[in-house]
Amino acid sequence: MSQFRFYYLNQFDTSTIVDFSSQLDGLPASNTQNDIRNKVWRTESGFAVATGINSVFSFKYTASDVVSTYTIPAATYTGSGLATIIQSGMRSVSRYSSHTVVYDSTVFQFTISKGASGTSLSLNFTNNTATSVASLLGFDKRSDYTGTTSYTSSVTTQGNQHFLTMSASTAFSAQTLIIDNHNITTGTVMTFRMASGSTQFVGLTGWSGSASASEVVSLVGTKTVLNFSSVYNGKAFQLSWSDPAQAYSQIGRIFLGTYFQPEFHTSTNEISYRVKELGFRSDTFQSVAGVTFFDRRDPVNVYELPVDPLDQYFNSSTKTGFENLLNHVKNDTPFFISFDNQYNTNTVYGFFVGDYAFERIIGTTIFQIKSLTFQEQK
Amino acid sequence: MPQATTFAQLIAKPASGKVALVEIEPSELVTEWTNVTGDVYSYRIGHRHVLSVYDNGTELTEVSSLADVGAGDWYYENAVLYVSVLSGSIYQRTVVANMRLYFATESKVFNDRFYEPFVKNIPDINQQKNDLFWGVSLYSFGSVTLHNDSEYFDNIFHRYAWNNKTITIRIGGEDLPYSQYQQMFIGAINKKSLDTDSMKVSFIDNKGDFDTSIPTNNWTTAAYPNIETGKVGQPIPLAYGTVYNIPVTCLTFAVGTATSIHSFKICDTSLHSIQSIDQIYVNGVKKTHHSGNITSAQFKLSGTIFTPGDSVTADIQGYNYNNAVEILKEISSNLLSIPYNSTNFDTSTVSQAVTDANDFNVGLYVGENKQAVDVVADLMLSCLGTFFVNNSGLYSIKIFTTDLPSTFDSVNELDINGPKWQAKQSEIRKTIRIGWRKDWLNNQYSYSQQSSTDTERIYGIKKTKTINTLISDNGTILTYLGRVALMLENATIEMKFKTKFQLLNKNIADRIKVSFRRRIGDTYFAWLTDKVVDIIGIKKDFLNNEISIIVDDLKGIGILVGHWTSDTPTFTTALGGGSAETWDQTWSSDQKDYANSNFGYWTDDDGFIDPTDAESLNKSKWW
Repeated sequence: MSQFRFYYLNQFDTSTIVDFSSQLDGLPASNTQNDIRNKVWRTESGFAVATGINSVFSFKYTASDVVSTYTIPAATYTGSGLATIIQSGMRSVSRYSSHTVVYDSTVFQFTISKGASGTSLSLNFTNNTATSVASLLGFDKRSDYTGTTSYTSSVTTQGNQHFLTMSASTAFSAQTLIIDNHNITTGTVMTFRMASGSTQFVGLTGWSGSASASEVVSLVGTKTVLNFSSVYNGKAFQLSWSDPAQAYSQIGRIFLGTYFQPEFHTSTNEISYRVKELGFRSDTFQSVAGVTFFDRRDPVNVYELPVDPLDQYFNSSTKTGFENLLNHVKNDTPFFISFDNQYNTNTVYGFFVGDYAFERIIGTTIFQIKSLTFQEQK
Repeated sequence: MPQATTFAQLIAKPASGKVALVEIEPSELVTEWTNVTGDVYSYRIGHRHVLSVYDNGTELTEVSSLADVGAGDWYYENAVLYVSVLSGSIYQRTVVANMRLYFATESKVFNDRFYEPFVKNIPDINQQKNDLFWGVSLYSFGSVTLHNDSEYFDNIFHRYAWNNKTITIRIGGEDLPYSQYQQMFIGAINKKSLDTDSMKVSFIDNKGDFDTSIPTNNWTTAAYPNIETGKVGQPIPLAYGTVYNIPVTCLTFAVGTATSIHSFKICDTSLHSIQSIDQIYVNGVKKTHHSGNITSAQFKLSGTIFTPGDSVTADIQGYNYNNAVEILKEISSNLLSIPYNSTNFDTSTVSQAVTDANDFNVGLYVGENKQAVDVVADLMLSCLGTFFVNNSGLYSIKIFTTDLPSTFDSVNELDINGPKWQAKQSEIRKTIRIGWRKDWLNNQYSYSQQSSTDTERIYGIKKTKTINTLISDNGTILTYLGRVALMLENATIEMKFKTKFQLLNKNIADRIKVSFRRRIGDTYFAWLTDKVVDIIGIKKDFLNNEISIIVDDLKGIGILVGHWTSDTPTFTTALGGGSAETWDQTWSSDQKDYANSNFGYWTDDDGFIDPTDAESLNKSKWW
């Protein structure tokens, strides 16, 4: 059934990027705050290590000694490069110089071994779960690995563990998260956390002070819309995910905030709208023999949305909602609309076309807008 | 239908989405530095592709981390440029960052760079020349308009240096990787303008480099203290190949009658010696010189035969260049600072042009300041050549020959629209006079001429055309005369039509085949069946993705001259296939025209390929 949800007050766009895992010079993280959906943030390929996020390697080189930790210098590594530096680090913090770390780029797995002279080896990732490098190596950061002298990644990994930390100047409410135009493998779990300040985040799972909000979403397709189980409040938020099957991650647009849903546009009501495809955008050239050549242009969808009668006495929130919506976006600010409860597949990014007048019906308190024309923004 | 992944697929698909990429390389003079540590300074340059950084004109070295930045290094990360200059205070240095900006007709990501979809308008790229048979392709120029609705250019319009910076246009589309995008134009920006909607940059192609005056060295009293006062500041001449009656300069003019031996210099020898001094003239009378020196191009005359004020000229073998294309290469490399290499020239095409131009020996004397492009035009006239900038922005030369490429691109009624034909009868001449062996002092020529009685009989034309060339010897002038006469004794048929991007890769002087019929069920025009034609003008409209093209039928001689062919010439399937190796009078007229256009046959003394076939008369002339 149809329903409209307008996502237009994007707290992500108005926030400041505090930190991120990696970015390409030509496709920086700030591209996610650009109106152009195809102007993407693309991370570096490989294994991005960030201090205080995923840089700690914890292990024991004897059964009786305490857990040793090695902090990997922040950088983006190749698989073999990360293996080399961890190996070097293990040898430097332990009494033994025989530990080996190898990355097999054919099967995308790390193997960490005791070597000849160590008495035993265990991987103690639970010692520093929040800032552990475990996930990057293809291990479970919530587990310790013991009992053998050599451990191989539980899952394949090409690295590709990423995060983005943002901070707003004032606290805001968040009800919906939209990740659009991404390449992240379907089924990848993205963790969303929200706090009163970015300093509350410790690594990708830890908190400093009181915990705030945390929710996970399993990403689908190229657009994922997550409606939180409850409304969260805060000034800072963090997204993190690990997609070891891909060499890099890419995201086009991110929305975070609340939505406006007209009073009678709930899941129980039926709202009709019209969508047409502007497909006739291609230029043509016809030869003497009648062969037509086309300069093919991508079609765009255009939606005609009906608007409820706007009467402050009948549905004040709807009237105010539409007024605020139109005042904010006018015809120059793209935003998201969900057209029904199939959010992932029927949420569209676009903008209003044209000029709208609130027409007062004489003798009533009703204003009306005949319809809104909403056009896709690529 | 699957998306195209190669350029060939893209232009062959009737329905394909085209995309134009525009890459611009402005610079920024950086002055607002923030000290990071020691001699390392930073500047928030923004998310830009920094190509290079220069310190007082010296290129600095890019390093891979901030920690590696030392004197003479630069590093870029996350929109910040870090620099440590070579020496001294950074504030006293001129530090310039060169960047590349990326724009397109739609948003694209290539090589980890986002192409902003700001391209509003792309100019047509034109290649054409004034003269039908030779010349210099006119400057390609135009402007690109970029959207500024997003305020992208508001500040960088002023902050960046745009003038004389490189702009490159590439064409592709659909799923083509960047490597398949074809470079269509490369040039330099010469103007910029801005308003709240758009930024416009105007540019000109590389042939602007040839719009420079030569010679480059002048007479000075420092080097030649006794030259005539009026000579000071005038250019020291250049002399290539065999040149006749060229003025020479007296080096002892100011000494006057105080010396009985006067010295003379013929031309500039700073780059090349001359080959010989053949004859000296004093006031037009042959005189014997002595102490000739080909290294310095100097000689002496006795005071008994020369008095200051007399006119002295010389016939010489100048610099060892008598091939018009080789002279052009030499001028480019040594006088215009445009080295002859694969960076600047289409060396394979030019190499072929050198071979083709060997048919004509030329002599060039440049005694006064002249734009190099005008000198090039004279050289091209003298070897039936066309000088142009090709699609890749490289200088290229083609000499008009009747040689045919082994493969052709073909177009027909399925591809073209709006065909128009025009017979260029204004060029027909009964008599051709070619000027050669130029008397440089008097600006006069020797002439050879050839007349065609048939031209008068067929067209009623009696006109004469005179062409003054740089050709210097009798042997090659007859070749030139014969070829030009052949071209001018018949009408040239020009054809104009439009097509899509099937011919996008073509340049002026390329050859294609054209066939035409009104309807698919018809037979082709007899004279337009796989007709080999020369491209004499081509306009590429990238916004509408159309090519407007002008071709001619090889100057009307396509079916009259013999063409070297493979050992097994055959007819096309449309003409019934089969061997065309031996002339057969029973061939259809279409087959005969095709054979004449594509192959060559030996003739008898009367000019018949087959003496029993009247239609074979004068249809395989020697070129």
